[in-house]
Amino acid sequence: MKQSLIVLLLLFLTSCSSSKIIELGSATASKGMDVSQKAQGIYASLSDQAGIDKSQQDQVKVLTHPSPSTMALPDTKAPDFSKQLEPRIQAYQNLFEVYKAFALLTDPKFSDKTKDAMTALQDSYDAIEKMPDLPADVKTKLPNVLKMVGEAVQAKEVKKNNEILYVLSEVYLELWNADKQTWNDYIDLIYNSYAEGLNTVDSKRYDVNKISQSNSEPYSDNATIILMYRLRNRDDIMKQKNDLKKQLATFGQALEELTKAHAEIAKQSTNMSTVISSLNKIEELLKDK
Amino acid sequence: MQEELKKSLSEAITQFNNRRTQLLQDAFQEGGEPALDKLVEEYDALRDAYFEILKRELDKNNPRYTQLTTATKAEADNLAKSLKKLNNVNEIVALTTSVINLVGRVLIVLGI
Repeated sequence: MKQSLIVLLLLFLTSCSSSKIIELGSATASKGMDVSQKAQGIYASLSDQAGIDKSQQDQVKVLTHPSPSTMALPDTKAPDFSKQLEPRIQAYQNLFEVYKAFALLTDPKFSDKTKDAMTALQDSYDAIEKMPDLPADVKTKLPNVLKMVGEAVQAKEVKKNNEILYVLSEVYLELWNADKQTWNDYIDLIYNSYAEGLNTVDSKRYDVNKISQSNSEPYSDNATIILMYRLRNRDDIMKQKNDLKKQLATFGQALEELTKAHAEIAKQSTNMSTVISSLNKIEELLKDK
Repeated sequence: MQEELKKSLSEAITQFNNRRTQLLQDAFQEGGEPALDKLVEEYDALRDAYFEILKRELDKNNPRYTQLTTATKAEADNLAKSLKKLNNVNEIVALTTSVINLVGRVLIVLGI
Protein backbone atom coordinates (compact mmCIF):
# COMPACT_ATOMS: atom_id res chain seq x y z
CA MET A 1 0.00 0.00 0.00
CA LYS A 2 2.79 2.39 1.00
CA GLN A 3 4.72 1.49 -2.14
CA SER A 4 1.77 2.10 -4.40
CA LEU A 5 1.22 5.50 -2.73
CA ILE A 6 4.85 6.43 -3.43
CA VAL A 7 4.44 5.36 -7.06
CA LEU A 8 1.26 7.43 -7.34
CA LEU A 9 2.91 10.47 -5.75
CA LEU A 10 5.90 10.11 -8.08
CA LEU A 11 3.57 9.84 -11.06
CA PHE A 12 1.64 12.92 -9.86
CA LEU A 13 4.82 15.00 -9.55
CA THR A 14 6.06 13.79 -12.95
CA SER A 15 2.66 14.60 -14.37
CA CYS A 16 2.79 18.20 -13.05
CA SER A 17 6.17 18.79 -14.63
CA SER A 18 5.09 16.88 -17.78
CA SER A 19 1.96 18.94 -18.28
CA LYS A 20 4.05 22.11 -17.81
CA ILE A 21 6.48 21.00 -20.54
CA ILE A 22 3.63 20.04 -22.86
CA GLU A 23 1.90 23.38 -22.26
CA LEU A 24 5.08 25.39 -22.91
CA GLY A 25 5.85 23.25 -25.97
CA SER A 26 2.39 23.94 -27.34
CA ALA A 27 2.71 27.71 -26.84
CA THR A 28 6.20 27.68 -28.40
CA ALA A 29 4.94 25.68 -31.39
CA SER A 30 2.27 28.31 -31.99
CA LYS A 31 4.79 31.16 -31.84
CA GLY A 32 7.19 29.15 -34.03
CA MET A 33 4.49 29.00 -36.71
CA ASP A 34 3.94 32.78 -36.40
CA VAL A 35 7.67 33.49 -36.72
CA SER A 36 8.04 31.21 -39.78
CA GLN A 37 5.05 32.86 -41.43
CA LYS A 38 6.43 36.33 -40.68
CA ALA A 39 9.70 35.35 -42.33
CA GLN A 40 7.85 34.30 -45.46
CA GLY A 41 6.02 37.66 -45.44
CA ILE A 42 9.31 39.52 -45.12
CA TYR A 43 10.87 37.61 -47.99
CA ALA A 44 7.76 38.35 -50.08
CA SER A 45 8.25 42.07 -49.30
CA LEU A 46 11.93 41.84 -50.23
CA SER A 47 10.96 40.10 -53.45
CA ASP A 48 8.52 42.95 -54.25
CA GLN A 49 11.36 45.48 -53.98
CA ALA A 50 12.66 44.54 -57.45
CA GLY A 51 9.45 45.78 -59.09
CA ILE A 52 9.28 48.82 -56.81
CA ASP A 53 12.87 49.78 -57.66
CA LYS A 54 12.25 49.39 -61.39
CA SER A 55 9.15 51.58 -61.23
CA GLN A 56 10.89 54.23 -59.07
CA GLN A 57 13.94 54.37 -61.33
CA ASP A 58 11.73 54.72 -64.42
CA GLN A 59 9.93 57.65 -62.74
CA VAL A 60 13.21 59.37 -61.82
CA LYS A 61 14.45 58.91 -65.38
CA VAL A 62 11.39 60.70 -66.77
CA LEU A 63 11.41 63.48 -64.16
CA THR A 64 15.12 64.24 -64.51
CA HIS A 65 15.34 64.00 -68.31
CA PRO A 66 16.13 67.43 -69.83
CA SER A 67 13.82 66.76 -72.77
CA PRO A 68 11.00 64.38 -71.80
CA SER A 69 9.12 65.06 -75.02
CA THR A 70 11.86 63.37 -77.04
CA MET A 71 12.92 60.63 -74.65
CA ALA A 72 12.18 56.97 -75.20
CA LEU A 73 10.01 55.24 -72.60
CA PRO A 74 12.44 54.12 -69.86
CA ASP A 75 12.66 50.45 -69.00
CA THR A 76 15.10 49.97 -66.10
CA LYS A 77 16.25 46.41 -65.48
CA ALA A 78 14.77 45.14 -62.21
CA PRO A 79 17.35 43.71 -59.78
CA ASP A 80 16.72 39.96 -59.76
CA PHE A 81 17.32 38.40 -56.33
CA SER A 82 15.14 35.34 -56.93
CA LYS A 83 18.10 32.91 -56.72
CA GLN A 84 18.96 34.33 -53.29
CA LEU A 85 15.38 34.49 -52.04
CA GLU A 86 14.28 31.02 -53.14
CA PRO A 87 16.40 28.91 -50.70
CA ARG A 88 15.48 31.24 -47.84
CA ILE A 89 11.75 31.07 -48.54
CA GLN A 90 12.00 27.28 -48.85
CA ALA A 91 13.87 26.99 -45.53
CA TYR A 92 11.19 28.98 -43.68
CA GLN A 93 8.36 27.07 -45.40
CA ASN A 94 9.91 23.88 -44.05
CA LEU A 95 10.32 25.45 -40.61
CA PHE A 96 6.61 26.28 -40.63
CA GLU A 97 5.79 22.64 -41.44
CA VAL A 98 8.02 21.49 -38.57
CA TYR A 99 6.25 23.77 -36.09
CA LYS A 100 2.90 22.55 -37.40
CA ALA A 101 3.97 18.98 -36.60
CA PHE A 102 5.37 20.11 -33.23
CA ALA A 103 1.97 21.67 -32.44
CA LEU A 104 0.32 18.27 -32.98
CA LEU A 105 2.86 16.61 -30.70
CA THR A 106 2.32 19.22 -27.99
CA ASP A 107 -1.48 19.04 -28.11
CA PRO A 108 -2.44 19.26 -24.38
CA LYS A 109 -5.58 17.18 -25.07
CA PHE A 110 -3.53 14.17 -26.15
CA SER A 111 -3.45 12.62 -22.66
CA ASP A 112 -7.18 13.32 -22.25
CA LYS A 113 -7.73 11.06 -25.25
CA THR A 114 -5.73 8.36 -23.44
CA LYS A 115 -7.89 8.86 -20.35
CA ASP A 116 -11.08 8.66 -22.46
CA ALA A 117 -9.80 5.53 -24.18
CA MET A 118 -9.12 3.96 -20.78
CA THR A 119 -12.60 4.88 -19.49
CA ALA A 120 -14.10 3.30 -22.62
CA LEU A 121 -12.00 0.19 -21.96
CA GLN A 122 -13.29 -0.01 -18.38
CA ASP A 123 -16.90 0.48 -19.53
CA SER A 124 -16.50 -2.41 -21.96
CA TYR A 125 -15.03 -4.58 -19.24
CA ASP A 126 -17.83 -3.68 -16.83
CA ALA A 127 -20.44 -4.43 -19.47
CA ILE A 128 -19.45 -8.12 -19.40
CA GLU A 129 -21.44 -9.50 -16.48
CA LYS A 130 -19.43 -12.69 -16.16
CA MET A 131 -16.17 -10.81 -15.55
CA PRO A 132 -15.17 -10.14 -11.96
CA ASP A 133 -15.76 -6.52 -10.87
CA LEU A 134 -12.71 -4.26 -10.78
CA PRO A 135 -11.89 -2.90 -7.32
CA ALA A 136 -13.52 0.56 -6.91
CA ASP A 137 -10.13 2.13 -6.18
CA VAL A 138 -8.63 0.83 -9.42
CA LYS A 139 -11.73 1.83 -11.33
CA THR A 140 -11.50 5.50 -10.31
CA LYS A 141 -7.74 5.87 -10.46
CA LEU A 142 -6.76 3.85 -13.53
CA PRO A 143 -7.81 6.38 -16.23
CA ASN A 144 -5.97 9.18 -14.42
CA VAL A 145 -2.87 7.05 -13.91
CA LEU A 146 -2.87 6.18 -17.58
CA LYS A 147 -3.32 9.88 -18.40
CA MET A 148 -0.24 10.66 -16.28
CA VAL A 149 1.75 7.94 -18.03
CA GLY A 150 0.62 9.32 -21.37
CA GLU A 151 1.68 12.82 -20.34
CA ALA A 152 5.09 11.59 -19.25
CA VAL A 153 5.64 9.85 -22.62
CA GLN A 154 4.40 12.95 -24.45
CA ALA A 155 6.60 15.31 -22.37
CA LYS A 156 9.64 13.15 -23.11
CA GLU A 157 8.96 13.38 -26.85
CA VAL A 158 8.34 17.15 -26.55
CA LYS A 159 11.67 17.63 -24.72
CA LYS A 160 13.54 15.53 -27.28
CA ASN A 161 12.11 17.41 -30.27
CA ASN A 162 12.44 20.78 -28.52
CA GLU A 163 16.20 20.21 -28.28
CA ILE A 164 16.39 19.65 -32.05
CA LEU A 165 14.25 22.75 -32.65
CA TYR A 166 16.56 24.71 -30.36
CA VAL A 167 19.56 23.80 -32.51
CA LEU A 168 17.64 24.53 -35.71
CA SER A 169 16.39 27.92 -34.50
CA GLU A 170 19.92 28.86 -33.48
CA VAL A 171 21.15 28.21 -37.02
CA TYR A 172 18.20 30.12 -38.52
CA LEU A 173 19.05 33.05 -36.23
CA GLU A 174 22.75 32.93 -37.11
CA LEU A 175 21.98 32.97 -40.83
CA TRP A 176 19.41 35.73 -40.44
CA ASN A 177 21.98 37.87 -38.65
CA ALA A 178 24.55 37.08 -41.34
CA ASP A 179 22.14 38.30 -44.07
CA LYS A 180 20.70 41.26 -42.17
CA GLN A 181 23.21 43.94 -43.16
CA THR A 182 23.01 42.97 -46.84
CA TRP A 183 19.21 43.28 -46.88
CA ASN A 184 19.48 46.66 -45.14
CA ASP A 185 21.98 47.81 -47.78
CA TYR A 186 19.61 46.59 -50.49
CA ILE A 187 16.70 48.59 -49.07
CA ASP A 188 18.90 51.66 -48.52
CA LEU A 189 20.08 51.68 -52.13
CA ILE A 190 16.56 51.34 -53.54
CA TYR A 191 14.92 54.08 -51.44
CA ASN A 192 17.88 56.45 -51.17
CA SER A 193 18.37 56.38 -54.96
CA TYR A 194 14.72 57.28 -55.41
CA ALA A 195 14.61 60.06 -52.80
CA GLU A 196 17.95 61.57 -53.85
CA GLY A 197 17.01 61.44 -57.54
CA LEU A 198 13.64 63.13 -56.87
CA ASN A 199 15.35 65.84 -54.80
CA THR A 200 17.09 67.09 -57.93
CA VAL A 201 13.95 67.34 -60.08
CA ASP A 202 13.58 70.89 -61.43
CA SER A 203 10.91 72.91 -59.56
CA LYS A 204 9.45 73.92 -62.92
CA ARG A 205 8.19 70.38 -63.32
CA TYR A 206 5.70 70.87 -60.47
CA ASP A 207 2.27 72.40 -60.88
CA VAL A 208 1.60 74.55 -57.78
CA ASN A 209 -2.16 74.64 -58.44
CA LYS A 210 -2.38 70.86 -58.41
CA ILE A 211 -0.34 70.64 -55.20
CA SER A 212 -2.61 73.23 -53.55
CA GLN A 213 -5.74 71.33 -54.63
CA SER A 214 -4.67 68.23 -52.73
CA ASN A 215 -3.23 70.07 -49.73
CA SER A 216 -4.56 72.77 -47.41
CA GLU A 217 -1.31 74.00 -45.83
CA PRO A 218 -1.24 77.79 -45.24
CA TYR A 219 1.55 78.83 -47.62
CA SER A 220 1.14 81.48 -50.27
CA ASP A 221 4.36 81.63 -52.29
CA ASN A 222 4.92 78.99 -54.95
CA ALA A 223 8.47 78.11 -53.90
CA THR A 224 7.38 77.24 -50.35
CA ILE A 225 4.40 75.22 -51.56
CA ILE A 226 6.65 73.17 -53.85
CA LEU A 227 9.34 72.71 -51.21
CA MET A 228 6.79 71.59 -48.63
CA TYR A 229 5.38 69.12 -51.15
CA ARG A 230 8.87 67.78 -51.85
CA LEU A 231 9.55 67.46 -48.13
CA ARG A 232 6.39 65.40 -47.65
CA ASN A 233 7.36 63.23 -50.59
CA ARG A 234 10.83 62.65 -49.20
CA ASP A 235 9.45 61.88 -45.73
CA ASP A 236 7.02 59.34 -47.23
CA ILE A 237 9.83 57.57 -49.06
CA MET A 238 12.02 57.50 -45.93
CA LYS A 239 9.09 56.18 -43.91
CA GLN A 240 8.59 53.31 -46.37
CA LYS A 241 12.29 52.53 -46.14
CA ASN A 242 12.40 52.70 -42.35
CA ASP A 243 9.21 50.65 -41.93
CA LEU A 244 10.71 47.88 -44.03
CA LYS A 245 14.01 47.98 -42.14
CA LYS A 246 12.13 47.97 -38.84
CA GLN A 247 10.28 44.83 -39.93
CA LEU A 248 13.63 43.13 -40.56
CA ALA A 249 14.94 44.22 -37.16
CA THR A 250 11.86 43.12 -35.20
CA PHE A 251 11.75 39.79 -37.02
CA GLY A 252 15.36 39.16 -35.96
CA GLN A 253 14.43 39.91 -32.34
CA ALA A 254 11.41 37.56 -32.55
CA LEU A 255 13.62 34.77 -33.90
CA GLU A 256 16.05 35.41 -31.05
CA GLU A 257 13.25 35.15 -28.47
CA LEU A 258 12.04 31.91 -30.08
CA THR A 259 15.54 30.48 -29.73
CA LYS A 260 15.64 31.62 -26.08
CA ALA A 261 12.30 29.88 -25.39
CA HIS A 262 13.60 26.61 -26.88
CA ALA A 263 16.83 26.97 -24.86
CA GLU A 264 14.88 27.38 -21.62
CA ILE A 265 12.57 24.41 -22.30
CA ALA A 266 15.65 22.31 -23.10
CA LYS A 267 17.04 22.96 -19.61
CA GLN A 268 16.78 20.28 -16.91
CA SER A 269 14.81 22.67 -14.74
CA THR A 270 12.74 24.93 -16.99
CA ASN A 271 11.85 28.39 -15.74
CA MET A 272 8.28 28.81 -16.91
CA SER A 273 8.22 32.60 -16.58
CA THR A 274 11.34 32.95 -18.78
CA VAL A 275 9.64 30.98 -21.56
CA ILE A 276 6.36 32.88 -21.18
CA SER A 277 8.22 36.21 -21.22
CA SER A 278 9.96 35.25 -24.49
CA LEU A 279 6.68 34.13 -26.05
CA ASN A 280 4.95 37.37 -25.03
CA LYS A 281 7.81 39.37 -26.53
CA ILE A 282 7.39 37.46 -29.80
CA GLU A 283 3.69 38.32 -29.86
CA GLU A 284 4.46 41.97 -29.24
CA LEU A 285 7.22 42.06 -31.88
CA LEU A 286 5.12 40.42 -34.58
CA LYS A 287 2.11 42.67 -34.06
CA ASP A 288 1.35 44.87 -37.07
CA LYS A 289 2.09 48.38 -35.89
CA MET B 1 38.49 44.36 -51.11
CA GLN B 2 34.82 43.66 -51.86
CA GLU B 3 33.77 45.83 -48.92
CA GLU B 4 35.88 48.72 -50.25
CA LEU B 5 34.44 48.32 -53.73
CA LYS B 6 30.95 48.30 -52.26
CA LYS B 7 31.64 51.49 -50.34
CA SER B 8 33.11 53.22 -53.43
CA LEU B 9 30.14 52.20 -55.56
CA SER B 10 27.69 53.44 -52.93
CA GLU B 11 29.47 56.80 -52.76
CA ALA B 12 29.55 57.13 -56.55
CA ILE B 13 25.83 56.31 -56.80
CA THR B 14 24.97 58.87 -54.09
CA GLN B 15 27.08 61.54 -55.75
CA PHE B 16 25.37 60.93 -59.07
CA ASN B 17 21.91 60.93 -57.45
CA ASN B 18 22.54 64.21 -55.65
CA ARG B 19 23.49 65.98 -58.89
CA ARG B 20 21.41 63.89 -61.23
CA THR B 21 19.38 66.59 -63.04
CA GLN B 22 22.43 68.83 -63.52
CA LEU B 23 24.64 65.99 -64.79
CA LEU B 24 21.99 64.86 -67.29
CA GLN B 25 21.43 68.42 -68.43
CA ASP B 26 25.17 68.90 -69.04
CA ALA B 27 25.45 65.62 -70.94
CA PHE B 28 22.42 66.51 -73.06
CA GLN B 29 23.80 69.92 -73.93
CA GLU B 30 27.22 68.55 -74.81
CA GLY B 31 26.31 65.45 -76.76
CA GLY B 32 22.54 65.32 -77.09
CA GLU B 33 20.45 62.20 -76.46
CA PRO B 34 23.31 59.69 -77.09
CA ALA B 35 25.55 61.33 -74.45
CA LEU B 36 22.68 61.41 -71.98
CA ASP B 37 21.78 57.74 -72.65
CA LYS B 38 25.41 56.77 -72.14
CA LEU B 39 25.53 58.54 -68.79
CA VAL B 40 22.30 56.88 -67.64
CA GLU B 41 23.65 53.49 -68.77
CA GLU B 42 26.79 54.09 -66.72
CA TYR B 43 24.71 54.96 -63.70
CA ASP B 44 22.62 51.79 -64.17
CA ALA B 45 25.85 49.80 -64.46
CA LEU B 46 27.02 51.21 -61.11
CA ARG B 47 23.79 50.11 -59.47
CA ASP B 48 23.96 46.68 -61.13
CA ALA B 49 27.50 46.25 -59.82
CA TYR B 50 26.35 47.17 -56.31
CA PHE B 51 23.44 44.72 -56.50
CA GLU B 52 25.84 42.05 -57.77
CA ILE B 53 28.00 42.48 -54.65
CA LEU B 54 24.91 42.16 -52.45
CA LYS B 55 23.96 38.96 -54.29
CA ARG B 56 27.42 37.53 -53.72
CA GLU B 57 27.18 38.30 -50.01
CA LEU B 58 23.88 36.42 -49.84
CA ASP B 59 25.14 33.59 -52.06
CA LYS B 60 27.75 32.77 -49.40
CA ASN B 61 24.92 31.60 -47.11
CA ASN B 62 22.83 29.85 -49.81
CA PRO B 63 24.34 26.36 -49.21
CA ARG B 64 23.61 26.64 -45.48
CA TYR B 65 19.97 27.46 -46.18
CA THR B 66 19.78 24.39 -48.40
CA GLN B 67 21.27 22.34 -45.54
CA LEU B 68 18.70 23.82 -43.17
CA THR B 69 15.90 22.80 -45.53
CA THR B 70 17.18 19.21 -45.40
CA ALA B 71 17.57 19.35 -41.61
CA THR B 72 14.02 20.66 -41.11
CA LYS B 73 12.69 17.87 -43.35
CA ALA B 74 14.48 15.33 -41.14
CA GLU B 75 12.99 16.93 -38.03
CA ALA B 76 9.51 16.80 -39.59
CA ASP B 77 10.06 13.03 -40.00
CA ASN B 78 11.22 12.77 -36.36
CA LEU B 79 8.08 14.56 -35.21
CA ALA B 80 5.90 12.22 -37.27
CA LYS B 81 7.60 9.25 -35.54
CA SER B 82 7.08 10.81 -32.09
CA LEU B 83 3.45 11.43 -32.89
CA LYS B 84 3.05 7.83 -34.02
CA LYS B 85 4.54 6.68 -30.72
CA LEU B 86 1.95 8.68 -28.80
CA ASN B 87 -0.88 7.45 -31.00
CA ASN B 88 0.29 3.87 -30.40
CA VAL B 89 -0.58 4.15 -26.67
CA ASN B 90 -4.15 5.18 -27.49
CA GLU B 91 -4.39 2.64 -30.30
CA ILE B 92 -3.34 -0.18 -27.96
CA VAL B 93 -5.97 0.84 -25.40
CA ALA B 94 -8.59 1.14 -28.17
CA LEU B 95 -7.58 -2.27 -29.54
CA THR B 96 -7.86 -3.82 -26.06
CA THR B 97 -11.35 -2.30 -25.77
CA SER B 98 -12.32 -3.93 -29.07
CA VAL B 99 -10.96 -7.30 -27.87
CA ILE B 100 -12.92 -7.04 -24.61
CA ASN B 101 -16.09 -6.15 -26.53
CA LEU B 102 -15.50 -9.20 -28.70
CA VAL B 103 -14.97 -11.40 -25.65
CA GLY B 104 -18.25 -10.06 -24.25
CA ARG B 105 -20.11 -10.96 -27.45
CA VAL B 106 -18.53 -14.45 -27.55
CA LEU B 107 -19.61 -15.05 -23.96
CA ILE B 108 -23.19 -13.98 -24.82
CA VAL B 109 -23.31 -16.17 -27.96
CA LEU B 110 -21.93 -19.17 -26.15
CA GLY B 111 -24.24 -18.49 -23.19
CA ILE B 112 -21.49 -18.91 -20.68
